[in-house]
Amino acid sequence: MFALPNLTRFSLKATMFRQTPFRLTLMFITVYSFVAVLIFAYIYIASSAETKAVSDAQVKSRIDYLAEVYREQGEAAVLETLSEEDITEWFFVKIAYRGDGDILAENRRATTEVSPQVFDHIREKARIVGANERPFQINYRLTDPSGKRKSYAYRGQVLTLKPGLYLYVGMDTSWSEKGFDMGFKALWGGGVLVIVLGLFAGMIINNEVSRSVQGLMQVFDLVKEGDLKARAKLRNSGDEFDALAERVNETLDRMEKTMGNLKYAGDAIAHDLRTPLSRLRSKLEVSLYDVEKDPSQAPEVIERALAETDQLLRTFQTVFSISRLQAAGQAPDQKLFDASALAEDMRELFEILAEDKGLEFTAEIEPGVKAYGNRDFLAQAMANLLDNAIKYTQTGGITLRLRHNSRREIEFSVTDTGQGVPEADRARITQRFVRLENSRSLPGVGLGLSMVEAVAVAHKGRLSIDEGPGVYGDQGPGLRTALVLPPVG
Amino acid sequence: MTKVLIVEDDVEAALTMQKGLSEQGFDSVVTHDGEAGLKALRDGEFDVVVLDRMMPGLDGVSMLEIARSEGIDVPVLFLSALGELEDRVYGLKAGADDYLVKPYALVELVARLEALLRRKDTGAVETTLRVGDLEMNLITRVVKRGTSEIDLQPREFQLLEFLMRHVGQSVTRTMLLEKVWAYHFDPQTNVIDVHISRLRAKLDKGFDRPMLHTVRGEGYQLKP
Repeated sequence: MFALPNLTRFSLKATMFRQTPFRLTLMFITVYSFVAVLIFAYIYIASSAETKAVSDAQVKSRIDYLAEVYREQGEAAVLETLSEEDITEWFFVKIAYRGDGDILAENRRATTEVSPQVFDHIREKARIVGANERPFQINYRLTDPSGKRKSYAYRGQVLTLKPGLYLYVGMDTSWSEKGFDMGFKALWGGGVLVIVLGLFAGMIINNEVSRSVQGLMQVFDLVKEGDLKARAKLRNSGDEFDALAERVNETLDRMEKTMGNLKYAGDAIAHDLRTPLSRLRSKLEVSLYDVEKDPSQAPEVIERALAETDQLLRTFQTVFSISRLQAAGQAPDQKLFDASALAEDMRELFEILAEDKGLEFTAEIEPGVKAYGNRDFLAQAMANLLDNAIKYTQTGGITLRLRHNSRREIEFSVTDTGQGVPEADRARITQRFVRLENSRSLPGVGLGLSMVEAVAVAHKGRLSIDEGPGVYGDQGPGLRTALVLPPVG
Repeated sequence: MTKVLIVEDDVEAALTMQKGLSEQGFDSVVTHDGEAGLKALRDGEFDVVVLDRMMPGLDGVSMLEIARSEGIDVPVLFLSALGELEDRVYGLKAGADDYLVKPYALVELVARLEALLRRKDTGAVETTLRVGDLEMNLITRVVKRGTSEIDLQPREFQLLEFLMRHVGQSVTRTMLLEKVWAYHFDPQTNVIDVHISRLRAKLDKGFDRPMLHTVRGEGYQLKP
């Protein structure tokens, strides 16, 4: 059985986070964000290392140059060189200062951009890092008098020219920071957009899917409660949900039909068995009188009752088999098998039965005929046909034939020279428990041909009943019964 | 005395069976579910088991599969209300040696149990079967009664072989159709009787003492 959630609990809002399409959307968004962050982080790390290396080299070349000027031309020359303006030096801040903080010289960029507090910051950082040691990063934000915020970033180094005289050269790296800032903003903005749109799309898809699923759930709930007539509505959208609903409907159709068949079979069995049971009952009742009159008859009476019960059980078994075949729609365990060999077996089994009764038995079996089916059921059916033919034929003979007919169907036929069956009765004799007037005296309960027909139908074949070869002595016209199976392959 | 284990959840049916079997000289122990059956099988020595298929808890098929996996190789006859072919095949695949459909006749049950017990005895490969003055060579396929050779059709040979292997036991018509012809359906008519009478004619003709007997209400029996 299916475990179905209760429909009342299946409300959209309460369980949206548990529903598959929405969960898939969330999963997608999470994965997307993670990957985007990862890619950006990689780019950031890789390019900021590159930026650092480039600016460090640039700063170093200027520091080296200024140190050389100092060595060769002295203090005044350094201060002059430092404040020289050149288009290539636009990105650099250069400051010469004393240990007490007095600025001796600076270039224009330093004048316009480096306020006293920034300069203090530079000196403090230089002291911590140590002059001549290694480059360091300065980041700061300022609000100018007009209220505009501006952020600065320098990568620079301090050189000690002599004790108490220092030189700072820094390169503006805010362009790179700005680039990353924009990248970050774009990522966040885009990310938020993706998440919002994704959630929105997820909700729409979820709504759509759960509507389809809810329809199916309703159908299943109804079926669970016993309404086998419930069917899912098709939206004719041709999508998977429609295909699924169609499949569900087909399954239900089939189930309903099978249930109907079973119910019918059950009713039929109950009905069919009432007759022989009441017959048995009245016989036992009569037997009781017999035994009361003559107790020595008891064993014989019981034996008769037993035989009668056996017959009843056999009848029951046959009715059961017929019903089961009809309900299943097809015979179980079907295989490709040698039909000619089966026909040979039947010939061997029944030939002497016919001969015993003084009937001539002829068999025409096409060799190598293959059929597809359940060998035991088909054997039973063939046996019934042969048995009938022998039972209802007094003189003449029986012909057993196995062949492919003109439509390549496999035809197993039995022809006898008995009295035959009037055309008007032929349709009737395959019904259960139908026995014709002149056969009442012979053993049997009227299930043989019903069984054959059920077996034929369960193999997608048929039972055909036709007139026999014609008048034979005072008998005739005889009967030809044939079990016809569809061609193989 | 032959000891039978009956595993059957229907108490009344089990007791009737026990009574019936004891009339036929079988000593039996009854258990009413698969677990108890399995326990009895592990503890006791049984010659043959009659096992119901559908029982609450451990069903017959599962019980048998467990027993077989533990190396318990006692012959088992499945008894079931499920008589259709696929059920039969399924039961035999699970390791049963024979399968009888409910409702059954006691004589049929006894005949089949005896057949199972007999099967257990025959260890060595035989080449010749002998019953009284009847002799069947399984290699040359020559059958002799006394000194005179009996000419048999292949199926008659198989039929006689089956009867000889079950000498002294009653075999039913259904058993013969199943074991000799390999068909699993109810023969309904006297088709088997006719074959037997053919065989009987060949076997007993010219001899004062008949060997192939009809047992009323049961079937047939070959006696030395």
